[in-house]
Formats: sequence, structure tokens, C-alpha cells
Amino acid sequence: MEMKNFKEAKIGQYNIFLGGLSEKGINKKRNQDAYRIGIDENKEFAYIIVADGLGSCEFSDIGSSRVVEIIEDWILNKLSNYSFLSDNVANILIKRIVEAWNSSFESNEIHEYDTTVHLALFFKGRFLLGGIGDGMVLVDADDIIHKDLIKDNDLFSNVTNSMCSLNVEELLEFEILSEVSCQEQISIIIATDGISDDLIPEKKLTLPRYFIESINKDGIKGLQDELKDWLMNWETEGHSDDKTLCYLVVEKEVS
Amino acid sequence: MGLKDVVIKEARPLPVLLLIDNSGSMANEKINTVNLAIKEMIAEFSSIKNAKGKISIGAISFGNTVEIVQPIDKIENVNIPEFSASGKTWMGEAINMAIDMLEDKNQVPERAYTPTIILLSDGLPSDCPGKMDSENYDFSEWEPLQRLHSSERLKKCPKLALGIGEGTNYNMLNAFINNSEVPVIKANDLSTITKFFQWVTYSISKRSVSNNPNEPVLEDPKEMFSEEEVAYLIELAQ
Repeated sequence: MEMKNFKEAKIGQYNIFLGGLSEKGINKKRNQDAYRIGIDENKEFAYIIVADGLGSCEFSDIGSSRVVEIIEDWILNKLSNYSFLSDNVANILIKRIVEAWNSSFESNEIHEYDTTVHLALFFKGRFLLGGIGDGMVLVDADDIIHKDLIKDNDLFSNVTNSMCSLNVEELLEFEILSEVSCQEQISIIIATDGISDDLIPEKKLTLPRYFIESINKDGIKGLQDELKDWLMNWETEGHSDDKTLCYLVVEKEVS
Repeated sequence: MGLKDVVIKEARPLPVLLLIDNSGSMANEKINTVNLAIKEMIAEFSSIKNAKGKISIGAISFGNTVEIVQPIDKIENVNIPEFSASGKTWMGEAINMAIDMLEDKNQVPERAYTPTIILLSDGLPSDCPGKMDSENYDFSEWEPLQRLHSSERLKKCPKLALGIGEGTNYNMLNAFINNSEVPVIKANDLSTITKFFQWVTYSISKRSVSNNPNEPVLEDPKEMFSEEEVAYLIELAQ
């Protein structure tokens, strides 16, 4: 497993590109976001995970790192027990995340570690996507499906569900995309609300396609450099949130 | 298209909605003082630089008619007319109108920070069943307040209220605030109206430049007001 903030590899008939980056908010002591990316050609999986520690919680930087670690640990050690991704596997993962989260901290202090989390997992041709809380999970599959999996929650910014929500097990939601949903290309972007809240709603759905085009034109390093510049020179007036983004692009070789 | 074309350049809005009683009993000095205090508040808000939450203002008046006198807009576009006072106190209709405004994502986008709602009144609502027996009526049961406090979007909004003069029912204004830690401010003389707006201006200005404008910042009322000028929640039906 290589720990690097972008990577490309081949898994069977799929070319995989994935990357991530995070920028601490201006004047903030700590970056409360956390992310991980990973790929294993032999076990046929690739993943991106993004967690956004709640700004009002004292130790949410530890919480966001912890939940990312919990999910990564499950992927690395348990995923290969299953032959393919299914709703049943998603339910097992949810249970594991909640159990491990609740046992990570003292119950009287756990709310100070609160965080959101989202992930995209590719395994043997299928995808598992979802999580809990605000931010965005953008999907473009074959230029046919364009969506943000995070539903409009009818609230204002920074009011969100999270790992410490009372009904976290119900609020943690994952969706499975089968091979049928992706005949040729799929592009997935996960970002924290430090990014998603400042995007023009009608334009943000074009981003996954833009990422594919950018990789095709300038390579993954080119995209990564452009993203770094974008986050470092964020143009929204008065912005000061942490900003974290990961992407996973999968292209099927056409024989 | 480049990545920068997708980013909204303006800071996230921090909306403030004023509900102003301009019924007949507010005539003369009361409404004149309110008019002046609003002007000063807007001037203060306009001078804030580098705010994380960009203040936007809306205003609804309720007197002879219930009217949106200022749709929610960024501070540089705000032009609230001077109020004159006449008619009854159609507060329930004004609260319902405020809920509709704040729940409308075209007026208050999802990226906005939590709005503050400010209510000023010198009397009892003319459109409330409790006006017949205001001492015994449970204002938390009043339909517009029930709607306000059960709205997913609005129940966490900070709410502030100013009662002006002897005719004010403080149980009703406390039911509007619905927070035992935030008092209604009692203006038995005109200077308290001015002080109330200074308190609001200071608190919201501080919020707009804070790291998290969603966290309510309220200057301690004790620093600003005497004991006679504050009325805390006494009892509210849960």
C-alpha cells in the first residue's frame, strides 16, 4: 500500500486514478479535516475517504482521523472476505463503523470528537458510495448519471448530521453502483463543506467530467497541481474553513 | 471552464430579518427612535470589512398592513424606508411571512449562516386568540410560533425581541425567543430602544467576523442593560 496523495494504477481491465488534498483554513490552529486514499491491485480495490471534523468540537481533528482510520482498517482487513459489494456488505460496514466509533472515545467526551465522513470504494467492478453529514459526493458515470449523493438537507451551512447524531446507524447511508452503471468511465469527487458550500450549485455537477478531461489532457499530476492551486487560492471572500477533496476516476478499457 | 469558474466569489450570507411593529400605538417618538436606530445599525454593518459572514438584511413591517419593506439583500443594497405608524398589530401574519421568506432557498440559500430574527413590538398581536385573556394564554401554543419553533430550518435561529412600553406582553415575546438564556429587552424609555439596536449591532457584527458565524454571539445583556430592562423566560409550556 503506497501512501501518496495521488496515484494511478491498473486493476484488471480498469485504469484507476485517485488523489486527495487538504488545505487548513486561514487562521485556524489545526486542520480538522482528514482524508485517505488507497489502492491495492492484487485485492482489486481502490478507495477515497474524507472526514470533516466539526468546527465547534474541541478534538474533532482527532475524531476525523479516527473515523477515516476505522474505515480504512475495515477495507484493508475485511473487504476481501466478500466476493462483491452489496447492500449487505454496506450494512456490515455501517455496523462496524458505528461500533468502532463508539468504542474509540469515552461516552461523556465523544461529542467533542464529532465528525462527518464520506467514502467511495471501488471493488471488483462495483462501487460503494456514501457516508454521513454535509459536504458533497459528486458522481458522473459515463456522462449519463450526474448527481450529488448528499441530499439537500434543508438546513443552513454548518448544521449537519454527524457521527455523534443519535440515530447515526440510520443516517449513515451507502449506495452500491453495479458494473451496469459504469460501462466506460466513472468519476467521483468527495469534498468537505468548506468546498461544497462555496460552489455554484448548477456548475458543481460538471466537476467530475472536468476531472476526467483534465486527467486525459494533463495527466493526474497536472490535475493534482491545478487542485492544489485552486484550494490554496480559494476565491470566496472571507473564507476560512478547512478544505479537503478526494477524487476517484475509473476507466474501463474498451476491448 | 476552469475550476475557478465554479466558485462563488461572495462570502456566505449572514441574514438578519427585522419584524417591526408599526401599529398605531408606535406613533411619534417610538417609531422615530426605531427609524433612527435602524439607520445607525445599517451604517455600522456597512462598515464591516473582511467578514466571513456577509450581513444581509430583510424587514417586514406589521401595522395597517403586513408588508415586506425590504427583501433579504446584501447590506450595500439595503434601503429600508422610514416607518410611519398606524393600524393594528398583525404580528402572526408577519411571523408567518418571515418563516416563508427564510425557508425560501432563493432568498436565503443553503450556504447561508443561520439567520437572526429580531422582533420589535409594543403590544399584543391583533391576530392571536390570546389577546382576549393574555395573562392566562399560553403563547407557545400560538400557531405562528409553533410553526417557527418546529421549522427544521428555523428552530435553531437566534431570536431577539424588544418590548416597547407598558402595553407589551413579555410572555408572548419570551415565547417568540423560546430560549431561557436570552431575555426580552424592555424599553420603558426611548434610550433603551437605541441601546437594544446597539446590542444587536455589536453581537451580529462580532458574529460576522468570527471564525464560525454560525455560533451565536450575544453580548452579555448584563453589560448593556439594567435589571429593569430585561425579562427572562418565566414559564413556557414545553
